Amino acid sequence: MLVKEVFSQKETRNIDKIYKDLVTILSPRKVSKKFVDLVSYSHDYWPISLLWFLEGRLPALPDIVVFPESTEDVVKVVKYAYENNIPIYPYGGGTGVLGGAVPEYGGIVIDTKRLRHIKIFKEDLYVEVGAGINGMILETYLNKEGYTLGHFPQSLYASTVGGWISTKAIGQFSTKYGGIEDMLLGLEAVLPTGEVLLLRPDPRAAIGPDLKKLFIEAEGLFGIVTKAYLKIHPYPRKRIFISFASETLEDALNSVRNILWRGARPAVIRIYDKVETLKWFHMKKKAKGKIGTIIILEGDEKLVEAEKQIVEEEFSNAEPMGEEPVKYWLDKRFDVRELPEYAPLGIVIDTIEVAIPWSKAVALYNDVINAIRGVEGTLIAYAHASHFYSQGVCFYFIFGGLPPKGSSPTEYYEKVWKAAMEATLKHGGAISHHHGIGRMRAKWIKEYLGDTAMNILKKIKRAIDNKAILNRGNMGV
Amino acid sequence: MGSWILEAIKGSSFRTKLSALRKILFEKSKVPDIVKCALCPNMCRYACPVAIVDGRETTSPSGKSRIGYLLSRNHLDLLPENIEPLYYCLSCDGCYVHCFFNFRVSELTRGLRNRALESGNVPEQIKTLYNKIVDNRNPFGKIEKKFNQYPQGGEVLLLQDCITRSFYPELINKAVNLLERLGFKPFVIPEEMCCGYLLYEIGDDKTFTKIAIENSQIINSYKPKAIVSLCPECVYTYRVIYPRFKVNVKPPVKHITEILEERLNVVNFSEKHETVTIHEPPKLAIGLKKEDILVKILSKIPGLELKLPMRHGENTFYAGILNPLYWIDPALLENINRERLTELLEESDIIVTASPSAKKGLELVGGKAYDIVEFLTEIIK
Repeated sequence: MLVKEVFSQKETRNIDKIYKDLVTILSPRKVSKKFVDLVSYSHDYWPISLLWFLEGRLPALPDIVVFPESTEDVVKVVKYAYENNIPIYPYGGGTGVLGGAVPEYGGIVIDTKRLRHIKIFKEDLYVEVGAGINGMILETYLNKEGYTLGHFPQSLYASTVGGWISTKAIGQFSTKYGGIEDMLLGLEAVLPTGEVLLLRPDPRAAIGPDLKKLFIEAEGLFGIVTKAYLKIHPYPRKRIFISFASETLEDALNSVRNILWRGARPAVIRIYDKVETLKWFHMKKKAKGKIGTIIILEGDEKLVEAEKQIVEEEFSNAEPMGEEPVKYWLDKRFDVRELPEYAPLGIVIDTIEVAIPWSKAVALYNDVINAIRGVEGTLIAYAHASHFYSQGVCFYFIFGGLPPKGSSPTEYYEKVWKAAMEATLKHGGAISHHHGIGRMRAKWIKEYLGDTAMNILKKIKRAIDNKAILNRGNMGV
Repeated sequence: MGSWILEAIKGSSFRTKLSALRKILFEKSKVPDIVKCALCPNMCRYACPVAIVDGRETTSPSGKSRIGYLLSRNHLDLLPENIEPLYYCLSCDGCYVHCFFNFRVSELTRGLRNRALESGNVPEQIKTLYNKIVDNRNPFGKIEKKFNQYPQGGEVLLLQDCITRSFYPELINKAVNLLERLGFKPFVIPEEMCCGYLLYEIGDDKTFTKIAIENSQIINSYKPKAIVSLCPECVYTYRVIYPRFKVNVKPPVKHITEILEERLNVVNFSEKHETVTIHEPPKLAIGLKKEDILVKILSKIPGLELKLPMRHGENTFYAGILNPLYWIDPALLENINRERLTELLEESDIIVTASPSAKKGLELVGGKAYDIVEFLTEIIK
């Protein structure tokens, strides 16, 4: 083996025997111990691990990878792993950015991407899907049938429904359609013992605590989601694009807050700070030095027209910038070329998303930006607000930098994260809005949750998974 | 680099700025394309039939580039089992459609396939395929030459691709008939050989160049006024790949649908009251940039109702057998063909395509598909 593992905690196992057993249980086409497959599942899209990858270093190699094609296949593998105390790492599209899918203790990776059926229930406006269905394939299918899921994370073309649930993903059209937690009606999951849990897709149920929530942003700790029932919407009949340039960040945030408080729900709202406004409003010279906001309204014609009036009233103190910046954003929104272009130059790039109530939003923005810029080596630091609630907002910070002389990329990377997380915690913000915890954020979860909540999380994990079979080592539980 | 970046870095220290600018100005252009692809989160996965049906990270577009990168830096040994995923590609160019760098993964990894072949480090099935092409000048084995029954002297050279010759020889007569009804004088030639497409795909530049030169000399010696093929892969090879090796066939080879499109204004079709679903072959829709040509032609037929499957146009999905998977993992290829067949059958039982390879792929999994030539034979006046 020429590649090196960075932080593997691998335990010694008889891999040949496990392989033979799994081939017997499943079939040769569903099991692999080929080295190229182990390499492929050694990481997800955690940016620092991509820099390691360029040096031939991988976070941690699994022992075996399996490709189940049904819930029954998943049950068989999980039962086997439970009986033999082998860790399991669930894997969807591998687009997680915090190392949540890294097989730290080796063991078996279960790739869910062959679980990909789609069944639409038009009369009741929901869809049943295999957890491994690709996001864009699902959306394309729904569009052809006259519907939309309304979920457009930047990873749409690469990620899976199971991954969305496991990281509590959110999409660009969230202000209207919500995050995945708002779309999830029910699910099926295989528990660490191999039992199958089915939570039915009822419109609403008041029958004990909502167990679905155990699997949202659980990053595979409590079960492997194999099936999901998701709300769908009629494909929007009308769309309106608007953009504005406000004098200050506070002005733009206030406008959006008032829009929401009046009950309007634009599908897309994105407020860019002065730096990022240069990027998305580059065709509008008047926007330079201002705060750009783009808005998309969609749905029923009459509702959309009414929402447009509210939006224009609340942005009356800003300069209208027309449709062009919105169209530009729509065209470029899945273009993620920065990391592939700059990481090979040794430039460390990542994003950090946090949530904060309105009252502390501007202060948090300023402090996090200053904290990141205060780390030696930082080249750029900017942000946008892209998900909004009646109570507050999500800020999405983007940074890039070069490790100072004598410092490694990992050291620089960790310093920036520490600075951003501490600034967020100081303001009482949520340390993650939609990327999750994984291995990168685990060191701050206890400080955010507090001892009692952290202990409850650990107790739940022990109660459901007493052998720590699922995603062993993740999230600090 | 957008000019906004220059504004954005204003606040950083002088040393950081200088160091970054130096890297951006002098090193950025030297980053190999395969590295950029390897560092992408697979934003074209949705369009890759292999990635969707196989579901393996290793055979996803970026997954292949990641393995390719590790091989190119000797972090992985160049062994048959390590190079194998790089043959899990249909060259449908679905990745290209969704790539913000406009990469084709098959092209990014071709150099490595070439290196592996030259050093003999390829899977056995690839060696078998190579030998078949070299020994028989046909990847599907030796076939009896039947050119005597076809016209041999005319103006429009009709190429008989390997799949048509091997599996659907009757299509040649139908194509001859169709061309005659369009007002051409078609002919076929006895010396025609494999165009070399699969040799190019498996990475054998040397033999490919040799075959390309031989083919061009033979074809050009007939001085045809036009050259036409039923096979989009053949057209792509003659028209796009040969010139990369400084080999030209004159005049440029056209696909049968292109000839039909040119004559649409003068052609009359009989009425046909049927509903058909269209399978656009990726090499025609994406490779040759003719994503709407089949719709254009078929929509001229009175009474015919056209249905498009979920994946169509430049987002079309693969069906066929003309790719290394046919040899290296036929079961996966079968699953890909089955996925496409199911999707097409959701629209109509009658499937029309414009590729003998797609026809064969769909028929291998129990479907029935008409090549445009046979579909039009009865209704073109």
